[in-house]
Amino acid sequence: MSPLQIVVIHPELLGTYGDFGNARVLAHRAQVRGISAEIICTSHDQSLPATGDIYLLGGGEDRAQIASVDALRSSVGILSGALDRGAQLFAVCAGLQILGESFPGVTGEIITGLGMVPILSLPGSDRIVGEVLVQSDLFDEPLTGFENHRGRTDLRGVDPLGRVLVGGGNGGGAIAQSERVDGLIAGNILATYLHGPALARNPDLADHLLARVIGGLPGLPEGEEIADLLAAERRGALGAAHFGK
Amino acid sequence: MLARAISMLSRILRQGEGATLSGKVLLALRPRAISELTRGRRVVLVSGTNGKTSTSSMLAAMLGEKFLVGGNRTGANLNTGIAASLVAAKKSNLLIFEVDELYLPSIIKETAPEIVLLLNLSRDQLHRTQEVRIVARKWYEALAAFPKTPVIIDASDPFLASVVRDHGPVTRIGFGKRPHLDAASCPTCGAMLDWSGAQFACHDCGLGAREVDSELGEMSAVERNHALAASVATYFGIDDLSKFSPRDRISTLLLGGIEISLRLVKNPSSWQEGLRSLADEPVILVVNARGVDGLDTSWLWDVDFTPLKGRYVVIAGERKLDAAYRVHIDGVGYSLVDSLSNAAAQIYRDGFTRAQALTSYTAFIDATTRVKGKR
Repeated sequence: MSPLQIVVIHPELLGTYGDFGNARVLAHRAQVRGISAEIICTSHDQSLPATGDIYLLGGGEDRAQIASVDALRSSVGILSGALDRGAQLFAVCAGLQILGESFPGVTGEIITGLGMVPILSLPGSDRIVGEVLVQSDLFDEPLTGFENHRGRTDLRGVDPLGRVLVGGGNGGGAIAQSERVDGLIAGNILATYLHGPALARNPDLADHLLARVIGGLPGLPEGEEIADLLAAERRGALGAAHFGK
Repeated sequence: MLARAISMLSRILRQGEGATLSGKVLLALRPRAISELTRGRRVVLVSGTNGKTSTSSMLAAMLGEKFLVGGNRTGANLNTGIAASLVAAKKSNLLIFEVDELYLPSIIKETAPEIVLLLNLSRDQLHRTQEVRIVARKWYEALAAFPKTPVIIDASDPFLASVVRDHGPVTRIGFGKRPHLDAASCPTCGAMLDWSGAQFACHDCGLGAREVDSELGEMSAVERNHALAASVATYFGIDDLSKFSPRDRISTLLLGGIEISLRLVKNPSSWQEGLRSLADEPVILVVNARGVDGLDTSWLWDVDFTPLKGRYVVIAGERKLDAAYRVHIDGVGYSLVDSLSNAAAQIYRDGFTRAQALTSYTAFIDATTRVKGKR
């Protein structure tokens, strides 16, 4: 069997917050299960490989985000074709925004996105910065992460990844806490404002992406418990800080 | 009136390491105190993401040959720390301030410095400084108001090259070609930087095309900062610098029967530098994520931890699990402990007499102040 291909899209542009960690975590969790995996980095001056199994889009500063979306426009067909044959796309933060119809640029001007999902991102009045806790129907336990973004995203009917228990998510302070959602799920696209190495803090989410490509996952060998310990510790810390439990 | 208030403050509040309380009080009483107390005095400002404290202390030693030097020497580099140091520096005829990146624009305005030394600029505590390009723009604007002020930069840093691109009196010191985590695209115009040549170059706006004043080649961070400090010392007429050698911000403490050299590391580039210069001794990592450390631990994934492979590694700190999973993914074995003391105890039990610790800011301060308190 050919190795699982994890394609990191423009790591030199979309890698502001340790985003490359997501590729490392996916490759590691495949490899320790006996599934060979390789990480393929595609820079902005290369065309996207069509053979990827999981494509990753990270976060980036405004200008880098625009440079990335401009370089990606000609590759939308390749990416959509890969998703049609079952590949997965996982995007965080700026990566989430560029998938939509449009997003705000350096001075708030409107930049046309890739149009792969019908969402719209707009500039917010302030930056949302801090720890996030998100309850997704995909998992028993909440996801945790860190967000740091000014943009707000209107899903326009696309399903969210989950409900925001702590933090801002797609909408931020303009929306009541009980109404806040984070990220999106659309076919084989999964995206979130939990930025950077979101899969390092959420091993269940990493395994979910792997399982959607591979099918049933073998169990993890001994020595890998540290991922679950970290996830539980973060959930506990956030829960204790906000709900006193 | 002001002098009396300050002298009273000096008596009431003793200046400890990292003291900012007297500065807070002073600024509350006199919001313009920094400007008032530096008026007509010679001021040197040192800023950058990494190396501010060690560089300004190397510089203070060099300039101490000729001047009575004052300023903040303990890493308290916000406006409060600078104000506090002024309380104690009434007689100094030269003031050297290390300045936090976000405070640099206002401190430039308030002190009208004689010369500014810029060490480097890269991602750091992203929850606080947001984007490194925003910081660069603010520095650019601050210098534009002081077009005649000499600035010395590490010209191998594209962000600094961008900050001084329109500034007149700039001394550019080159240190070879050094990859920069945040500079795939041009800090000035956003076009892709070309890194394929001998130096970075922007083919759109021309950034990087300027000649450097001296090219010193690749060297470690502390050697770079030493060279930059020497350049400032030369400006002040100190020519014989042979007795000054590069010094890093390392503290040594005795704990649990072993000697630990503590090194402050606080962002991807300083962690990488710390990991590059490890001795063959057990390594302790202490990772916290309180405000000044950066609340977000994502940066751990921008550091290559493979230099720790095969070493004796102990991890402590409030975010030890984040660090543990990170090094695990790089194939590094480790053990977890609750505190620096327990790390020392375990290392002592295993028969070692020395260890080296890489610690985030609050852990460094905790360790160094706690030990001082015991003496």
